[in-house]
Amino acid sequence: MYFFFFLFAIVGLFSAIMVITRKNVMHAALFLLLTFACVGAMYVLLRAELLAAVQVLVYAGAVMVLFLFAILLVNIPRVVRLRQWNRQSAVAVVIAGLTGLWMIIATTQTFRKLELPAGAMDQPLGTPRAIGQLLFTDFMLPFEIASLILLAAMVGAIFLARETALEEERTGTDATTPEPVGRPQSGR
Amino acid sequence: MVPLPLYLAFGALLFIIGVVGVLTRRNAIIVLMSIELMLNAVNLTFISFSHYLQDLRGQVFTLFIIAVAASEAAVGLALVISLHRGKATFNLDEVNLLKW
Repeated sequence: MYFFFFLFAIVGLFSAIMVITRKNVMHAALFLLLTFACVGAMYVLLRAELLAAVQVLVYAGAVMVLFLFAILLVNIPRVVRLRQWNRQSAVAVVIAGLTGLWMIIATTQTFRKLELPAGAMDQPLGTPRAIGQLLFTDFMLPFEIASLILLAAMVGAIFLARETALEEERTGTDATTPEPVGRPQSGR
Repeated sequence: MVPLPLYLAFGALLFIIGVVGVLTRRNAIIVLMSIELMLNAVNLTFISFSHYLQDLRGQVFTLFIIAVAASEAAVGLALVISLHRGKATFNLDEVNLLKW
């Protein structure tokens, strides 16, 4: 159990660090995919089987495909050569490091006495049946609202990414090919 | 079994890596990826608490966070695409038209 936890934790942390440090966006996207897979595997260790499947299906299957399509649709050959860290990198790393230290101290020192009840690892917790029963009785309203959020996001994304009239004028019929210049013949 | 603080520490580290990515990278797409990292860290924290308290509501909440994160990624990427169309850049330092 410890072996699998440390395996997924170390691979997950390594690929997360790779996501934020890669210059090539495509490499960062693939490392993010690996991070999602590691986190999904961690969910299985935590007896959340439906959530592990949902994580792989939605995050690795849909969100990453969305990212990859967005990266591929816009042609960015020259971005790789630009500077990739902005002006506040040093301060941000220091502050984030301090915040991380505080968070780790707070989480590891506070919950040391919380133990799993005996035999809890053998009983199923996050089965589809159990989550479905909660989702359709107590959490019916958030469930419907989540579907509305997805609809709104879909409409918004389609609207934002549409072709505008400005672009049509720039790349439409106004683009003319330059006339070939006649070369003067030498010695005719 | 693996004690709870280890899971929480892993979630905290993932969150901090996401925060560093959001604060320091110039490329808009990588900032969006770091936001997804942060959301995953929060999901992991919810699910580990749900496991140790034997309460299923943490997992239901995580399901909703996944739905919201997916829709926010879609809208964010549409914004990045339209930004690229207008200015042909992903560099967030150059997107300063509203700066006073």
